Amino acid sequence: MQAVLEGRALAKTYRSGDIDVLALRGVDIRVAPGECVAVVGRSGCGKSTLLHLLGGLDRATAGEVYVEGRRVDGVSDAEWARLRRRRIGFIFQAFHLLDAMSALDNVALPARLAGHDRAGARKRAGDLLCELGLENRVEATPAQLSGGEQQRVAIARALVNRPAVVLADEPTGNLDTDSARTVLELLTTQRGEDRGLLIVTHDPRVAAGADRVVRLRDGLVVGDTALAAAGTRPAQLVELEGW
Amino acid sequence: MRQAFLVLLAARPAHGYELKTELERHFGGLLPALNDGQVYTTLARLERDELVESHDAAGDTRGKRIYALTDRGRREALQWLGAPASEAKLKDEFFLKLALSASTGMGDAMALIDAQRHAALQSLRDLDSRPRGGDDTVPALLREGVALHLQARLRWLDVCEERLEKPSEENHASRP
Amino acid sequence: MAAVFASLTWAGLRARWQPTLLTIVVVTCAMATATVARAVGGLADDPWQQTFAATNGAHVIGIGGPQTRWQAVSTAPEVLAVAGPFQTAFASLRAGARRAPALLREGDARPSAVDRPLLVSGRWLHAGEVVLERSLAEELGLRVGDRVRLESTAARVAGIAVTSSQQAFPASQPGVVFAGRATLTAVAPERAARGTLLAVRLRHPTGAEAFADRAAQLTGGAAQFQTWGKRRADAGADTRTNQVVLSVFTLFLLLICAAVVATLVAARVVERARTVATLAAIGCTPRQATTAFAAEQVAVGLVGVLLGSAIGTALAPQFVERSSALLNVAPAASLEPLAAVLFGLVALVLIGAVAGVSAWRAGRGVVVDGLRGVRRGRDRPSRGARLADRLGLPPAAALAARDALSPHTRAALSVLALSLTVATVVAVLAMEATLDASATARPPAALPPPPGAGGLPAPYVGDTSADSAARLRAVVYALSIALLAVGAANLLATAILSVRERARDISLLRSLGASTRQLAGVVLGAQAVAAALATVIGIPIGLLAFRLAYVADNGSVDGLAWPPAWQLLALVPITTAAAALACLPAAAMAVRLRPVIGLRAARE
Repeated sequence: MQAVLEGRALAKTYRSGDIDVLALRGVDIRVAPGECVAVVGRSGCGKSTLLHLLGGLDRATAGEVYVEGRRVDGVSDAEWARLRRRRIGFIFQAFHLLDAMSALDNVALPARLAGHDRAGARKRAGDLLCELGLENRVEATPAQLSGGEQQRVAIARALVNRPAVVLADEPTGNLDTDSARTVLELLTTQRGEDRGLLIVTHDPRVAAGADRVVRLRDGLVVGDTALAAAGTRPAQLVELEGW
Repeated sequence: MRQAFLVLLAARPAHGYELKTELERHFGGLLPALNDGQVYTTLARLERDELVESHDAAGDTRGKRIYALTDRGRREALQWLGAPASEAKLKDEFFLKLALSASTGMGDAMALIDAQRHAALQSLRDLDSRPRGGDDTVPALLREGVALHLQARLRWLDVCEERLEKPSEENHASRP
Repeated sequence: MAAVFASLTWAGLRARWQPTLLTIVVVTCAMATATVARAVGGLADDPWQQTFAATNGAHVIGIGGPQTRWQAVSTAPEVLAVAGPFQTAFASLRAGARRAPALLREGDARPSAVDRPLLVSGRWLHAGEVVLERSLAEELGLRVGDRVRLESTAARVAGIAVTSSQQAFPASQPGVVFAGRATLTAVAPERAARGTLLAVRLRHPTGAEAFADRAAQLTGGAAQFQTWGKRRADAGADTRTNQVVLSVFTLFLLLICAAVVATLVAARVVERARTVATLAAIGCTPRQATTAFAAEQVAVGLVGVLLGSAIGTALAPQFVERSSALLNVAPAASLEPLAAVLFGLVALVLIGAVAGVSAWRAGRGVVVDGLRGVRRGRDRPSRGARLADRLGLPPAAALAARDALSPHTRAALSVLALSLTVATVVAVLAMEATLDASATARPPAALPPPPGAGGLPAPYVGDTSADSAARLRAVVYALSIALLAVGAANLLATAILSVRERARDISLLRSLGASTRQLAGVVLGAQAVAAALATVIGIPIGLLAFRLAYVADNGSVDGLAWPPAWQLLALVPITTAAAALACLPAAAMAVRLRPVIGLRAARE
């Protein structure tokens, strides 16, 4: 089955002062349709860099990126913009919502950029926000929303154009435990049959929600574990001493 | 299990059957189901130790007994409740395996760590996939404790992997 | 697509209305100043020629006696048009306690074909009235409606006009007064006391000298002829200094206004760099984001340009009037509405270009850098910053120095604008020095008395150069005040901008325990360092520019004087103090900033 997102031999080197930092040293990664892949590792292992390369937010020093089978690593900025409008959705740790606009307008923005009319975009945005439990907060500006609410708005924004791939960079990094769990649940349930989800995280609990966990260390893949679907194992989880 | 029964009986006297259902209710599906034999064996031991006393229920001909705490049993129950559990104990089969493997060179320590990591992740996934049903209930608390324990475990596994790999790097470096 | 950006722009402007308002205010000031500067500068561009054209001036003027026969001259083939011969008479003009020699010239109601006087106030004369030439009226302080005595005849001033046939009074004496035939006859009853004057316009203006020689022969030596070339040279000599000063000034003003507006616009766009990156991340092409932000700035700038043009156009006539008196020129073409519209368009194009380039540069590079607010390639502290570190300054001062010396566009543009402000102050000082040096009285260049006429009345002695200098100063200082206002607005704006840019750093400093004084020190210190730097750059720029302009107009450095060294040295502490003062509001803003606001603000 064709991968919805693929990176081959991705490498990224950048100069810091006098030294070359090898952020990525040749990483292969695949996300199949309907699959949720978590990329984990300590700080500095290159996981965020990998995500930026896959989404065109940064340019690779070497390697190839394929979105829905099409090679995209060298395309123009304008073409990347088109991809990010229609095929790729982003979720950031720092939310990156536009402060000047309401939640509804923030979510509707990618749809409008893609050419939908204002009313249609706002309706779709409204529906998404309701699905995510924010029906009472659609007119609030980001400054009036809590961290968890903002991230949910960001998720809605990433999904509004029904992308084939969703890239999330530490989506729960700025959230407390409860908000993190809500966001994680939302992300994984929004997966859909054809959509691939790649989550970069340092939180093992977030990683455990994925179908596959890819571990990076020092810019290289050091582990790729597939997790069985939940519920296929027996129920007992805890053994109390003396029981 | 002993202490659990003592505390439950400290609240009020009860039948053996009631104790069983109450335990299951408290801890939800997280703990294995008890069978009657375990329950009555424990109660019998407690009676033998004079922590619990029993008598027949009035007007009940089926032989169900009501159990209640003795004074000594009450003291022990409260004392057990009040004292903090030991934090320093770590009964961990994995650690035994890892330590033995690393020091004797038998088996593959790295592969063991990998396998344990997979198991922990899978457990975490299974845990989180259960319906939440009220964050303030006791089962939810227990679940959160288990999840955090698993997260800690995963972090510890990373540390183990890192530390145990170092000697081989140092060996490489020291070779001419 | 346009609708999306329109709503983005509107949302952005509404949320950020304070900076928007500031931009509008600064652009308005700059535009008003620039409009006035353009109007005045237009005058300084060959003023005598402008008057000559406006009055259909005479290429050759002949002055003769009562018997001079002009027939041969006026019918000569080289002549295109002729006016006169007009009767003339000398008289002593008395206004209150002041007396001045005047040449009365006949001027009836019909405008003459050649050398027609151009009214600048009042109306043309009726019986018993006179029209004064402007420089004469200014020197004697006379206005429309005043009463004067010409010898023993009383007359009322009906109007004031400019003419190119005579240089400015009192440099050139006598002054010119237009009067009716009756008044002329009353002043000089004997025909022999009245002379004649002929104004000639040639087919080929370059042949004026040759024609003057020929005409002298044709009249048999009974008249003298003066060419326009000589008049122009003499007029130029009188107003040369004024002309230079006004030219240099208005040019500086235009440059400063452009730099100030450019700084502000560029800074605004850079502020939104993170928004640009966010938009790129969700699928906006770089060109779209660039266009949107450039359009936002043009929209804001349009308001400022319109307001400023309106204000400037309302104020300009005052300046133009004063300046035209200084330059002895007809106040005319520089106030045409078409020119104003074009000027406004140029300003808008400038704003759009700066905004576009800044937005393009902000959107360059990879998106992830924009999101993080990082400028790639700046991993190493700049040379200036390292220098600041080495100086071992206290922490607040060190931070201030780093900020001021960091080589980014906004800082560079604002230092440039500031240095141009300083350069203008230096130019004012140079003007003062030059005016002082040229205070020696020039012997008045007079029209030759007609042969056979009576003696001239006593020449007028006034404090010529002081008055003229005072008038020049008035205009220049007025322009300078406008310019200093723009400079101050620029300082204020850039101080506020840099505080916003550094909001996160300032909040961090606060949360680390920096005291109010230290924080204020960082903000004020940065401005002070920038001001000192700008002063050091601005002084040589001002001196050099003044010298260049002077030489270009004068042909040599004769008469040019430098301001004394102590004045230049004093500029450094003065400018630094002024800059620090101007950004007190910004500093107050910074220290009041609650840490959480600054840290949160860093998200956008």
